[in-house]
Parts: sequence; structure tokens; C-alpha cells
Amino acid sequence: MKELVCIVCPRGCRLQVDEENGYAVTGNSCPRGAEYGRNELKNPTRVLTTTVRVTGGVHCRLPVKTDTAIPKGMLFQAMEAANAVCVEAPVQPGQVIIENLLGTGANLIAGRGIGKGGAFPDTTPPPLRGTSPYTGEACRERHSNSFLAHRPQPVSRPS
Amino acid sequence: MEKLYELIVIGGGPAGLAAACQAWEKGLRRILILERDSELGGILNQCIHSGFGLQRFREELTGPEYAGRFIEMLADTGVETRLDTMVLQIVPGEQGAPHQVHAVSAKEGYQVLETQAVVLAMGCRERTRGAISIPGERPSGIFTAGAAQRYLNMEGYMVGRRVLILGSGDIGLIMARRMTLEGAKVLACVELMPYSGGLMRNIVQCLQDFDIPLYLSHTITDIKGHDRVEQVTVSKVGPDRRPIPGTEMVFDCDTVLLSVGLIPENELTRAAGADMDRRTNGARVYENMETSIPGIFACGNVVHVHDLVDYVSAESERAGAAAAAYVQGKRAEVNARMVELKNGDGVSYTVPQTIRADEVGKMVDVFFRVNRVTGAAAIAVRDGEGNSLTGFRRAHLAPGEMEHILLPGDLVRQAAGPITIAIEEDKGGAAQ
Ligand SMILES: Cc1cc2nc3c(=O)[nH]c(=O)nc-3n(C[C@H](O)[C@H](O)[C@H](O)COP(=O)(O)OP(=O)(O)OC[C@H]3O[C@@H](n4cnc5c(N)ncnc54)[C@H](O)[C@@H]3O)c2cc1C
Ligand code: SF4
Repeated sequence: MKELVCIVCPRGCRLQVDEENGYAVTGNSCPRGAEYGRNELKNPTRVLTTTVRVTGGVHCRLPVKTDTAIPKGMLFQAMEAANAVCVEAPVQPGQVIIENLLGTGANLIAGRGIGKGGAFPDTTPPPLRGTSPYTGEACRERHSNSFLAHRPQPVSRPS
Repeated sequence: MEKLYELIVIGGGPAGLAAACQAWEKGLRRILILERDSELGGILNQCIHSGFGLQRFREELTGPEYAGRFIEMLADTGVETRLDTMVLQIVPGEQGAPHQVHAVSAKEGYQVLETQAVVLAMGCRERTRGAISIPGERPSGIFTAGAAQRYLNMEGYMVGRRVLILGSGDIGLIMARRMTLEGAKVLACVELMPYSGGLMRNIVQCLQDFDIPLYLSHTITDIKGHDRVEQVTVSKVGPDRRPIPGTEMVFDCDTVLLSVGLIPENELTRAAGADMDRRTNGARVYENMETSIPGIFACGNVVHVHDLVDYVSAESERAGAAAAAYVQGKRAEVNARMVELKNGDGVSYTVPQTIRADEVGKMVDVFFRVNRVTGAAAIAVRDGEGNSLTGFRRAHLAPGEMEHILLPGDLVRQAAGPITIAIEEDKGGAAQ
């Protein structure tokens, strides 16, 4: 017997799953809970939500998600794949960003639309990613402009 | 002076969007939304995780997707919007005269707008380190969880590599997972209270999924670091919530995220002179979300902090409909009979605070929060003489999860005196 909390909806039902008895689920208030309980012990999956870089748009990050749940064990690999892409504005809501992500059958899709122009108008990497606002150093990886990569100094002001 | 609006909505988050759409639906045609950000959607734009809309759309949407649905609905109406426009002041009109809304924007300068009704939908902001006074040095590397969320999800900055989270509110939990996925090491989530302030499903999918420990009844007792956070000391607290000497744990980390609660953003509301509720930090409202100032309504996080946006939308639609009714001449009686909702044992607040008995329809929505975690319990509704009016069963109750009940209108109309809502825990499971 395994005790779980169902995460399918905010009700958070407390489930008991009986592995020895064909993964029979009790404690669920709806069929989705039973399905979750079974899957969680056999092959746990999660929907991944993250962001990818976008250039030429009104924002420099695009929220994305997998259109179906992917195996939990593949989340970090999927993050790597997402962090490697950079799309160009305009982006339509629901647009496929990566098809069949890592062979899971799930597509990585855009969570919103992003129009052209605005704060990040050209297609060169947005300044926030290109150089650190703290040291002016070029940033090699996506997040090496972390607030941390260097001793924080006052944001450079024109002297 | 510009044209007279029927309704001005302040704030273009989910609350403002739902209120404006509903008021349009009910027949108002001169509606304006004022939003200080450069786009509609409010805080949802930075909440890229999924879990929105399960109740409303029966689908698990992300924050931007949920906002998108309402922005699309709005596009089908003739509701006007002014973005990058900050509202500075509301001057209520005397005796049914139009209300004035003062706003400023770079494009149009200072504007004074006149309107028959106002919906306040300004949302809330986060409690900061100053608001809860954490001891220690003042280095950089201490962020509210929502600020870190905005940096990461909208601007593409990681705020740190080794992270400690104070407070177990939903935003903190969501950020624990988000930072972990982006390659940070989240060392622990530390909560002062003996229970979490967040939803159970977030504890499971944001902490347990990534083996992040949750220390209940613990708090930060020291922060070290000159320029940047270097070390944080965490201590266990006793039942009096004071740190217990000798229980210190030291974490080497560069970042502290605070998820220690939200405060409704009510400067405008207070300045306009609306009656406030000290427990919700929001305006006191009637059953139709009208404040103590006739024609000024409020909804969403500016009234009380919601954990689910689905409830925000539903509540705001009621406010929008009520504002439309007000403009169309269906105004509440000045001498309406008032039924107060009182907080009984275990209940920390209710919204609405007061019901105008003659105004209620078939059902009245009542939202409230409990002040402790319980097992199976009854929500008891009693009249002024202590007679039971009705009751509701719950398998468990927690302060982190807002409760919602529907009171039959007839019950409210017939109630003698104020109505008290209280929690009655099962003793041995036999209580009614
Ligand atoms: C950081 C954060 C994270 C959250 N994460 C979640 C989550 O993961 N899941 C969830 O279900 N809920 C979450 N919530 C709760 C969520 O905010 C609510 O469910 C919902 O977004 C509240 O909607 P609202 O319209 O009342 O407020 P908001 O979405 O905050 O919208 C208020 C709007 O009013 C505008 N405004 C304020 N003052 C003025 C002014 N003077 N003039 C003009 N415009 C003004 C603001 O710019 C903003 O756009 C979160 C809240 C916060 C603060
Ligand atoms: S079992 Fe059904 S009702 Fe209960 S938490 Fe899961 S999905 Fe929600």
C-alpha cells in the first residue's frame, strides 16, 4: 500500500494505491485520481513548463509547455533541449516550438503569442543575455548573467 | 473633461478582465480598463506554470494561457483599454454624482476621468523582508519569490545558484521547482508555522519531486554576507514561534527567496475613504462586491488573497454584473437590512463581511479561510441566537486553502441577527 497526494487538481485527495492488488486506488474523488495513482507508481509523468529565448519581439522570453505529460525522469533533459532553442518573433499562441520532444511524442508549444518589435527589436541576442549589466562581460551560456556569476556591483551608470 | 464613462476598471489582471467582460455582457457600452503595465493579464503573465483554469475551463492552463482566454474575450467587446497608465486617486462622487478617476501616463499625461461606477481590481503585492524583519546583514541576494519569478520567467535572469526559501506559500514552492529545473540547487524551504501556507499539490510536485526538504516550525535567525548572501542560519521555533537556542542549522547559499505572504494593494481604496477590513487588508464588501462607497466595487486579490485564479474570475464577474446593475439604476436601498457575517471559532475572515438581506438572490457565495489545520470537520452556520442554519462537511481544512460555501438566500433573509461561521472539528468522528 502506497500513500500519495493526488496532484491532478487543487483538491489534493489523499490516495492509497495497492501495488499488490492490480494498483487499485482508493481515496480518490474522481476517475482522474485513480489514473494518476496508477501512473505515479508505474510510470510517473509531468507536464513541463519553462521558457525559451525569443528575439525580435516585445519580450525576450517565451513561456512554453509540453502539450502532454512526459516521463518525470526526462525533465532535466527536456530543460536542456528547451534552453538550446531560440525562436524569432512573431510567435503565435500554441505554435509548436519543438516537435516530438526527445522522442516522447509530446510537443513543446508556446504558451502565449509574442508580437514583433518593442523592447527587443532586432534579431541579435537581447542585451540582457548578451552582456552582464553588472560587469559588462560577455555571457557565454544562457544564465551566466546570473546575479551571482560575479561580485555584484552597482548597475553601471553613465559617468 | 472627457466623456462620461459608465464603468472604469482599475487593473487589467484576471479580476479586471472578468469584471469588464461581464459588465459588457450585461449591457454597459462605455467601459474603460486602466492598467499601469504595458500589457493586460496582471500577475498571470509571469506565472508560466500550469494549474490554472481547472475549475473554469476544465483544462490545466498556464498563467499566460488563462489570461489569453480572457484577453481574447475582451477583444470581442468594445471595452476600451489604456495601458501604461497609473491610477493615482479616486474621488468618490457625492450623492450619486459621477466618481472621478485621476490617472497619469507618459503618452497622455495627467487625466481626470469621470465614471458612474468603478471596479477596483489592483491585485496585491508581496510582503518583503522589511515587513517581517529578519535579523542579519543586508547583502544582495534576497528577493521576494514573485520578483525572482518575474526576473526568471520574463526577463531571463537567474537570481542565484544555491537557494534557500523562507515561507511555504505557493509562489515560493513554484519557484523552488522552477529554479531547480534551471539548474540551481534549492537547499530547503523553511516555514515558521507548523503547517504549509501552500497547496498540498504544490508541496508534492515542487518539493517532494525534487527531494527539497521542507522544515516546518523553523525560521531564519541570521543572514551572513557582506556584498552577497553567503550563509544563512535556520533555527527551530517553539510553540510560541520563538527560535529555540541550540537548534541552529547553517546553510551555505547565495540567495534567499521570501514567500511570506501577499498584501492587497489598497492605497487607492483607503484614500477614497472605503471601510477596510483589518483581517483581509481589503475593503469590506457586500454580497455583490460593492464597497461601503455606493458605485465602487472591488474584486480579486485586492479584496482578499486568492490561491486560485478560477475563484478570482467568478468573483469578478459578480462584481462586473453588480456594477452594470448599479449603472442601470438597480441600486441597493439605503436602509437595507444588514446581516453581518461573524467569524466563529477557527475562521479568520469571511468575504463578504456583510450581506444586504433584501438584495440576495437564490444563493450567496461566501469565501473564508480557517486559522488552523484540521482533519474531518463541519463548517457550522448559526444565527444570532446560536441556532444552526446549515452546515457543510469537509474531509480536511487548512489555512492555505480558501474555502467556499453557498448560503441559500432564504436562510439569510430569515436569519435572526448576525450569522456566525465556525469550524467544529469531529471528536472521534461522531459530530454532525
Ligand atoms: C507573484 C505572484 C504569483 C502568483 N502565483 C499564482 C499561481 O501560481 N497560481 C494561482 O492560482 N495564483 C497565483 N497568484 C495569485 C494570483 O495573483 C491571483 O489568482 C490573480 O492573478 C489575481 O488577479 P487580480 O486581477 O486580482 O490581480 P493581478 O493579477 O495582480 O492584477 C492586478 C493588476 O492591476 C494593476 N494595477 C495595480 N494598481 C494599479 C494602479 N494604481 N493603476 C493601474 N493599474 C494598476 C497591476 O499592474 C496588475 O496588472 C500569484 C500572485 C502573485 C502576486
Ligand atoms: S482525485 Fe480527482 S478530485 Fe481528488 S485531487 Fe485528484 S483529480 Fe482532484
